[in-house]
Amino acid sequence: MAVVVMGDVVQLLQRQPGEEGPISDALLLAALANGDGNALAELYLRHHLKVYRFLARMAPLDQSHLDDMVQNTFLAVRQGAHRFKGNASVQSWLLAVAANILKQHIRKESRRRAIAAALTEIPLETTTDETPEARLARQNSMRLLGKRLHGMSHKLKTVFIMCDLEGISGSEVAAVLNLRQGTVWRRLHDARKQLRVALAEYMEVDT
Amino acid sequence: MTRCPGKEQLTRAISNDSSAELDAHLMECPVCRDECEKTRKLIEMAKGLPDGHPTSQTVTRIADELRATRPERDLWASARPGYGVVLVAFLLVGAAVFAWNYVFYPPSGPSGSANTNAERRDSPKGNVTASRSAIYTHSIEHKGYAFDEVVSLREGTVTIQVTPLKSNERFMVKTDDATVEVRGTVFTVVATNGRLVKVSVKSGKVHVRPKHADVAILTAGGQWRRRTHPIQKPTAVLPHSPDSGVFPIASPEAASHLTKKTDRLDRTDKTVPAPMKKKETVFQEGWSLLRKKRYAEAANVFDNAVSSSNGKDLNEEIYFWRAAAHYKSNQSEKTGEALTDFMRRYPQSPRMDEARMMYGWHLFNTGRYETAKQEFESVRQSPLPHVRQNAGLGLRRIEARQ
Repeated sequence: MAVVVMGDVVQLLQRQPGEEGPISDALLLAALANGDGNALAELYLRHHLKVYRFLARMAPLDQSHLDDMVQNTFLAVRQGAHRFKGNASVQSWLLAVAANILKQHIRKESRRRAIAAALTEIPLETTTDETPEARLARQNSMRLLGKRLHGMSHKLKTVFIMCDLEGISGSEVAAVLNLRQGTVWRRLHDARKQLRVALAEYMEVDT
Repeated sequence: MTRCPGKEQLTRAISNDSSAELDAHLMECPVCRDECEKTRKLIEMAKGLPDGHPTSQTVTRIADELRATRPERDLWASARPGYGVVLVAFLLVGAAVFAWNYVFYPPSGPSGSANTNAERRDSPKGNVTASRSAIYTHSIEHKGYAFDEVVSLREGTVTIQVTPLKSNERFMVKTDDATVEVRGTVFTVVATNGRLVKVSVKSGKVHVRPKHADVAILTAGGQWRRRTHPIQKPTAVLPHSPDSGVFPIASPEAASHLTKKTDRLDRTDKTVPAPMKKKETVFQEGWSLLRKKRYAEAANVFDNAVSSSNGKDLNEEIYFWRAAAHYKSNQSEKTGEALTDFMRRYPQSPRMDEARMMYGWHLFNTGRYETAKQEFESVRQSPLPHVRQNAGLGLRRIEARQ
């Protein structure tokens, strides 16, 4: 039986007899810290959709870039598995790692230009039960929202997406981003305010 | 109605992180409720933004790649603190070695290249041109990272051209009694019997350091000479010697090895002569008269010196030459008195043998042969050649008379 130390928590890598359910994410991360490649693949299969969605909301990446970003995120998770402190869920921690990977990616000037070009063409979902005028207005508002969200500063949109779109609690976001909770709430407030100002016209029409 | 919450509280309420009190306020405050509803609507709109959806092939491919890849060690993250200390210590040692070799004691060489110590030892900075009769040695002494290049001159003339030296190099010419040091120059050194005689500088700067005189700094065109006595070597003549009537008495310079008087070295180009003391003035005056064969006047000078100072501050040289002056002036009574006065005052004098020999001739001239014979016998084994020679001559003359 191998004993793995993760932060202040000591967990048993091998499951106890009679233990039910799948192996927890934290245990997989502990196995990954010991060099288990299968644990990394299992983490990927469990959380890749959330990471895809998070990254797509954070930046208008094309599919190939998105695939690369997700893969790079899990490679970074393997490198930093021993740094997981156990003070937040693994999912939140994965999104924080993805946010850092994206930040490094956007810093490169060529990628930034590609993102700027992609901002002009955001594919939008269509529904069949709305009028053409309503569909056009909705597409315009969504395009504007996407453009404003992607153009927001990295630290504001990270907090906004993690808290409001991914549904992670403020305390957990503060833990994985190494921020105080007050800072998280302030950034969330600022992000919401910027988006509401940008969409004020459409939101007034809707109401 | 309760008071409206602040921004942070309202933000937390929208994120379902509010308290019961805040929820109650939202129920009764239409402004705050509208604020929350608009923000929630915004969030719902944002959730409608397109997501990324990988294909199943992509998911399978990435999962396989992640499973197959080997973990890379994060050296910095896994390194123990001790490794950092060792690394820092290693870097410090390397920096110290570099500074020692290239900063404090940079390698020498004409082109500034990194010559080794061995190369330095094989490439002297001084080019020595010596006279045919010169006796000298040329060596390089290695003292850590410092080099002393030394020419030890015993005899003859050497002309040396020294290329500019580094801060850790010295070039010196040494004799038994002086050191000449340069830092890149052309100069000539002359020595006789191990003693420095002359230094001439053609270019650059030379330090002359005699052991018993002040340091002289010579520049281009400067010259240093050993001070020679202004009076040439005299020869005391015994007018009544039976043979040639002449036997030498060593001059002050020639007999200097017999006295405790030290050598006088001085530079000739820039020094100002120091004022002479009284006894030296008297001595020079009397000696000058002796040199001019004005023996009676010389004897008077020496007599006046002795009588005026009662002999307290006069050295044995004056008493000796006083006796010699009387002897040369044929003043028999005063000669005997002066010689006995000298021998009584300075029984340990190096000139005692000469005095006894002179006293023997004085006795011989006054007809006291037996006493003269004793005096000649006492200096028969004298270390001074001219004393031994004259003592033998006197004894032969006494035997001839008998």
